[in-house]
Amino acid sequence: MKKIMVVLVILAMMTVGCTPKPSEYDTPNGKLQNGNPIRLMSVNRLHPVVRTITLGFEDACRDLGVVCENNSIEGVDFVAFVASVDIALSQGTSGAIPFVDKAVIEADKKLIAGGVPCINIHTAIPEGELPGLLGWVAADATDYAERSAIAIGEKLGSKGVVAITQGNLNDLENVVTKVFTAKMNEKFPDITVLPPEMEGFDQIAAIAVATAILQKNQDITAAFGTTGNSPVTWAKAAEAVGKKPGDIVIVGMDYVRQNLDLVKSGWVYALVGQPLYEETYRAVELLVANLQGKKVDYANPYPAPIIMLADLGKYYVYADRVDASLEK
Amino acid sequence: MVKKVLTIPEAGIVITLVLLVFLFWLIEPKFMSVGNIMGMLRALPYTGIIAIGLALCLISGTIDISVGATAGLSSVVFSKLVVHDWSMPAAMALSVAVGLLAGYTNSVAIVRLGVSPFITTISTLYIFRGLGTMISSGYSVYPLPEEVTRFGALQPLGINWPFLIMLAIMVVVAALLTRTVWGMCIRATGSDIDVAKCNEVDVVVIQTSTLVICGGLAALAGVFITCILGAGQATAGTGYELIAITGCAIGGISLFGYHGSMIGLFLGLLTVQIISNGMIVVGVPPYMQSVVVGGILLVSMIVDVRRRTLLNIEQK
Repeated sequence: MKKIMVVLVILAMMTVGCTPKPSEYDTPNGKLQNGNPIRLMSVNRLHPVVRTITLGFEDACRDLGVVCENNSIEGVDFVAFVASVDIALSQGTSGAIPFVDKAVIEADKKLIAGGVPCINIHTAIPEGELPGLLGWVAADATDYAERSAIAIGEKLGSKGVVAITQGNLNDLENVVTKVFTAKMNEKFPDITVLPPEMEGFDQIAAIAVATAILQKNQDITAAFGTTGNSPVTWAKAAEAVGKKPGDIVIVGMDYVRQNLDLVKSGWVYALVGQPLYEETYRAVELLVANLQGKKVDYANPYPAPIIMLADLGKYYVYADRVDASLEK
Repeated sequence: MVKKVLTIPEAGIVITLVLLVFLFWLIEPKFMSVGNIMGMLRALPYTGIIAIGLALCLISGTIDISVGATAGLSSVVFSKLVVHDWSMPAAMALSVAVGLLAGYTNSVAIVRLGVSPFITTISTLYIFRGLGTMISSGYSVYPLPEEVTRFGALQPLGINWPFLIMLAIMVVVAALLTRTVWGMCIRATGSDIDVAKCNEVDVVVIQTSTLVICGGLAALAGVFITCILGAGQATAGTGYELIAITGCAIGGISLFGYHGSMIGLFLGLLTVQIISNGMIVVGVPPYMQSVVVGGILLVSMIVDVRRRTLLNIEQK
C-alpha cells in the first residue's frame, strides 16, 4: 500500500510538472497551442547578440499572448543542439525558431519531420534547401555587404586600402566578404581590398591578427569585419599601432553596447545593424499566423541599416533593455 | 663545438625559431619590422603568464587544465569589483586571491584526495567557467572605469605592462627554480615522487604550492585580459590551456615532470606567436593556416627529439 502511495504521489507530481498552468494558455492564441510552447532553439545562449535575439522572442510572445520557452544552448555544441531537438519533440512544440546550419541539418530535418513548424532567422535559406521549412526572416546579407562597401568607399573618398576579417570560414561570412569585395571593386576601382583574414572568436588573438595585418599593410585606411567582435578587434588594434579615432574607417557588425560606444567615441565609423530583435519578433508573428491557419510568406527579408553616429539613440534603447533584463 | 651547443636544452627550439624567423623574413621583410615585433610581444603575455604557472605544475609532475577557466572567473570578479567602485589594485588583489583559492581547490583534490590531476582540473574547468557565468549572468561586464581601459592601452617601451610583468615573473620563477631548495624539490617531485618522498621532500607542500601559484597566475592573466578588452567576460581565456600547454611542450617543458626552464618556455611561447603572426604577414591563405601551424609545430618537436637522440640525451 505504501509503495502504491509513493508511485501515485510521484505520478501526481509528474503530471503537475508536465502540465502547463491553465492560465498560461488562456489567451486566444495560447489556446491554439494545445499546451505546446513555441521554442527558441539557438546556440550561444549567453552571447550578447543572442540576448538581443531572445529579447525580440520574449516581447513577441508576450505581445501575441503565446506561451514560449527559450531552449537555446550555451556555446556552439552541436551534440547538445541535437539533444535539445529530441527533447523539443518529446515534450511537444507548436512552433520553433531553431539554429539552422549544415552541421546540424539532420536534426533540423528531424524537427520539421516531427511536425514542428519552423522559421529560420538570421540567414536566408533558399526554398527547397531545407524541405518543410515554413520560412525565414533575415537581413539580406548581400544588401548589407554592398551598403557597407558603399559607406566605406564614400567615406574614403574613393581611394585607399581596406582590410577584411571574418570570424571563421562559413557560408554567411564568405558571401558577405565576397559581395563586399565585388561591390568595392565595381564602384571604387581605386580602392584596394585585401583578401579576408580570419580573426577567430578569441578577442585577444583577434586583436593580434588585426595588428599583424596593420603592420604588414601600413597603408590601410579602412577595415570591415563580419562578426560582432570586429569593431572591438579593429579599434583595439588601431589603438595598439598608434592610430587615433577615425584614422581607420572601421565598419563591423551588431549594435551591442560596447560597439555603440566605439561609434560614439569615433573609433568605429559604422555598425551593420543586423535586425536581431526584429527578426525574432517577426518569426514569432509568423509562427502564430501559422497556428491561426493563415498563409505565411517563405521569404521575409529585413533591412540591416548601417548605423552611424547620428543613429545611435534607438540602439542604445535596445542595449538598455538587455541590461535591464540582466538586472531582473 | 657544434655538439656542445646542441647539448644546451633549449638548442632545439632556438634552431626552429631562427629558421622560422629567417623564412618569414625572407618571404616578407615587414615581418621583422619593429612594429610587427612589438605587436607579437604585446600578444604574448596573456597565454604567457598562464603558461608560467602551468610550467611549474608540469615540472612538479602535475597539470592544471582549468587555467583558462580560472582566467575567465577572475576576469568577471575583477570587472564586477571595479564596476562597484573598488580601486583597481584592490580588485586586482582580490581577483588574484580568487585564483589562488581556485588553485588550492585543485590541490586539495589532487594532492590530498589523490584524484587524477587531469580529471580534477577538467572538472574544475567547468566549475570555474560556470561560476564566472553565474556571477556575470552570462553578460559581458561593461562598461568598466576609464582607469582600467587606460591601463590596458598603456605601452611602456612600446610593448605593454602585461609583457613586462610576465618577463619579471619569469625571471623570479627561473631564480626560484634554479637557486632555491623549493625549486630543487619541485624538480625532485616531478622526477620521481616516491624517491622524492624517501628523500624527505614534502611533496604535498610542493605540489600544492605549484597548483596554487598556477591558479594565481591564471587569475592575473584574466585581469590583464579584462584591461586590454575593456570588458569582463566569463569566456575570457577559453582554450588558453591548450595554447599554454603547446608553448610549454615546444619550450622543452616535459609533460611528465622534471625537465624545463623559463628560457625554454619563453622561446616556446614566442615560437607559437611567431607562427601565428607569420602566417598572416607572409599571406598564407586562411584555409591553409591550421595545417601549416600544425605542421611547423610537429616539425619543431621532431627536430628537438632528433637532437636529443643524436646526443643521447635522456628523453622523458
